[in-house]
Amino acid sequence: MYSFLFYLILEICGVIFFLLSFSVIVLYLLIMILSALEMRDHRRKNRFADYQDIITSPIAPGVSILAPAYNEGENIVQNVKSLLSLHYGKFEVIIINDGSKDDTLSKLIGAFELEITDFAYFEEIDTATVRGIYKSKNRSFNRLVVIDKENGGKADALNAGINVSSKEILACIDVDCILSHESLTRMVRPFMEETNRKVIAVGGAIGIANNCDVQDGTVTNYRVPTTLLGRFQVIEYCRAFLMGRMAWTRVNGLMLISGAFGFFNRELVVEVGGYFPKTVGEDMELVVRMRRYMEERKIPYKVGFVPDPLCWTEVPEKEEILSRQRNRWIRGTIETLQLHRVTRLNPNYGIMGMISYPYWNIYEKMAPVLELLGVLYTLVLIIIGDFSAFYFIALFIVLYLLSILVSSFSILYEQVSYNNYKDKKDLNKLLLTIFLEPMFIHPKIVYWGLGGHWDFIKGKGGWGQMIRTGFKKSDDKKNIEPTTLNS
Amino acid sequence: MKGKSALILVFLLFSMIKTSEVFGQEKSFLSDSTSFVDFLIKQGEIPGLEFNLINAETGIALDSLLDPNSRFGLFSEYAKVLTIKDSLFQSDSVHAEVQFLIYKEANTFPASQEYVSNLLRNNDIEIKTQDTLNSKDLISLAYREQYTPSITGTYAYFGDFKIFAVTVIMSLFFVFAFSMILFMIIFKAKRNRREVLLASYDEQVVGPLSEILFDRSLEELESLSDDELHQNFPEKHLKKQLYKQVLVERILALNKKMKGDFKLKLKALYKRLKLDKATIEKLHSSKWDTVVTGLVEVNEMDLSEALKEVKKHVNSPNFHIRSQAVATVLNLSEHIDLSFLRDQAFPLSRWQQMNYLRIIKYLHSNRELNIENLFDSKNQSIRLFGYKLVRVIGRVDLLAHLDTKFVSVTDEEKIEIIKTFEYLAVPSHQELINSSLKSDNNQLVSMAARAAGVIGDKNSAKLILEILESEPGFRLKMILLKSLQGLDAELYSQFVAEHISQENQAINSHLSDPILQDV
Repeated sequence: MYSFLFYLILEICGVIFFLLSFSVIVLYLLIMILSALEMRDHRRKNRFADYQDIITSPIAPGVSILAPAYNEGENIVQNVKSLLSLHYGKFEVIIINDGSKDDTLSKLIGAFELEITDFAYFEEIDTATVRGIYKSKNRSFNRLVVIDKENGGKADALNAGINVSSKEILACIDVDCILSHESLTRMVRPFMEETNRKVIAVGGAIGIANNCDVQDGTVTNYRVPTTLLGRFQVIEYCRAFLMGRMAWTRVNGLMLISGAFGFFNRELVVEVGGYFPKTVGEDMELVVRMRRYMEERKIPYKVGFVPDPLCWTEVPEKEEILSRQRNRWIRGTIETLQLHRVTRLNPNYGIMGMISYPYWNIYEKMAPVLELLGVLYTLVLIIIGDFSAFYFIALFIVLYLLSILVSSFSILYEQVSYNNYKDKKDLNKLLLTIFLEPMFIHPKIVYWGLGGHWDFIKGKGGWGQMIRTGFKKSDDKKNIEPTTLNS
Repeated sequence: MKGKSALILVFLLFSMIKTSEVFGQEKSFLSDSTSFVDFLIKQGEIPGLEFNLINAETGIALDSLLDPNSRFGLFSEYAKVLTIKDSLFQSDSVHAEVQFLIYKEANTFPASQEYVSNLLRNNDIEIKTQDTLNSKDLISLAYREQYTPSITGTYAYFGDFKIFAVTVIMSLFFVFAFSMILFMIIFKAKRNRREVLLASYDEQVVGPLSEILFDRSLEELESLSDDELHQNFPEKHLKKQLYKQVLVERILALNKKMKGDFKLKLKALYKRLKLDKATIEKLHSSKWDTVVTGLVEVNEMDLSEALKEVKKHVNSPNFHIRSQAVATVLNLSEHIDLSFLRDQAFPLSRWQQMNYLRIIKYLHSNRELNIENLFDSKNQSIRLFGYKLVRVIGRVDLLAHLDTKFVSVTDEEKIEIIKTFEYLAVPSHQELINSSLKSDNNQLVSMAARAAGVIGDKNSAKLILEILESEPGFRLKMILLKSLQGLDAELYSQFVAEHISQENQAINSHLSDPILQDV
């Protein structure tokens, strides 16, 4: 009896793994096709766009750039100067000093001749205590606003920035990101183009600045990073931004906009209650909540994406830092999906509920767990002698080839669309990394992802009770007691 | 204890052994001589068993010559040896006996019987059943057949199918993945070659273009013969798409930067090289991006002869074609006003508005555009664009039109109209602002309050005070107080002094802070 059950379970597992492997293959092929179509359209549209007009047009929307800073004293002045020099007519730069323990604030005060003001700070969204709001008497820095507040985390800092912001569009960025001069004009375009749907948010692609030459706030000469981990992230970013997000944009199912470079409709952000500070995946959580808000009210909307290289960041090349980042990412994903589980396979939430959510649940959140189960299943098969070396090797080869196929495709996109890595040696290095990644880096990513799951189970970070309960409606976040929120 | 465990172990091992098979050694086949002989006759050849004929009296083997098919007097079939034995007796009265040989060794009848029994028991030989096929024998055969389960846990056929499927998928992926890499390498090489070619064409084009622009007059250019022209721009090159593309892009770029005579020369050259025909051809393409490219070229090179074709695209369902066609018509038409825009069915995006605005701002001073036509459009986005136009190009004369329309339009339009009044800061039409201050729509009240601060009157101040008394939200209160401060400073101070709350004090401090004047 037990033996029968055991073999039945094994058979079922076998079928599940077979279906999973098959679905992964089909999904990736679909993603490749959809992203290719979207990229083609984007490139065609870009040929005819004149971005010069936006800079001075009275019809263009204003942009509030929100950049939280925590212990950024070393580079803050240079970073803010770079932000102030962006080419755009109507914009303000809001730097939020999130209780830095270093000299971030004093450096800003000194460099930009800041003075504390009597700004009437109104908490549309609850935040940690704001100690003061600074502006410069010098007209050259008229666009700059600095908020000094108690430490409350990135989401809380952004919420304080939202409260102070006055423009129609919010550009939420990491202060250490390098933005192209054209970044605002290009990112604002999708907000201006739609006629039948409201554009609630627009995400941007992020490039990797490690080992590149930077001049006047723009990457002038691209080179691939020197380490394998760095090069792997170049491929990963190409896969994520040029393929994944482009494909999701095609079907209007994008659920994640990178926290390092995302643009949002301010009115809607305030309406849904701003960022949720008790999750480490605040960027994804906000997009999901905004989408839910629109779906619940049956308002046609769109989440856009601009794949042009407009923002660059330094990625971690040390395993220790990268592992922490991946752990945080997976926890953020779990928390967001947990908070919005009401949308799962719920037709009331359209594509998000029926496609995006299940995809994220199975292929992003559960991916490390499923891979671990796959390994355990194989071990069990070996132990009981039911292991088929043929199938194992065949499946391994298929998935290895799939990985090569997808990665090469994403690099091909980069080459077709932007051709940033002009040196043939760089391309060869990337190709070599594509071959090595599944064997030398992917297992580590899985391991770090499992760490994220484990930390979530242990209750690290996050907001246990609330995440367990979830948001029943998109505006539930607004109804949370501020004291609880800031605890 | 150890002994006991060993005993149990032995017992378990014993119970696990297929004892039935062990005991099966005792099972006898061909137990009597008759059945053995019958079996030998029916079976024919049996591996390892041969027969020989010997003289019964002398015991000497009879010669193999008796049967030409037997080797050295040995027979493999028992029936045959019996026949020969009988024939010897009948013909020569020779008493012969059958000798049994197992693997060439002479053996007794019982030993041979045992040997054959063993072969049967171990299934080393198949019993010939051809002559005796009937149901009874089938059952007995089936009984003798050892049991093997037909379902072994895996489906053999499906298993094969899986192998086939996996092999196919694997091969496909292998081909795809490596084709992708190969394609990428080829693509990169081709792209590099293309870039080199583009740079080379660009070099070839720049020289002659500069010469024509700076060394020749417009008349000289127009009077150039085809041969002279083709010396600079070789005919064989002009047939190449890439060369043509480089040339067009260069001319367009120069045309954007140049003015006066240079522009005319570029246009003349464009036509002399028959690039205008290629441009007009593009307007008929089924690909939207080619059509838009054609429209851009028509617009940049002022190809007014293509206007008729361009107008066909003004109401195109494709956003990009429509936008570019409208821009081109606005730019190139000498007499056209904005009525064609009024009749557009598709909503105007802000992107389109921005593009049209740039052109209209440039055109309005020397052409009668009849902006007021847009106020009567059935399309709300066009009406809103019309109000914005009044504001941006400063058509104060149209404010009266807007005032008349104000009562019958939606709140969204009212906001846009008030914004226009505020922007142009003409101190009239206060009734329109004051009536909006009484609205239930918060956004409209906010806009009206903002405008009241610039062009309001005493009634506006009174209305603002009334709203302030009703404790509005923070954002609206701030706008109201700011407007009140601008309208009547005394009234403002009085209100702040009489309504002491943390919120009012904060707003008051904010509004009084000189650094925050623009925030």
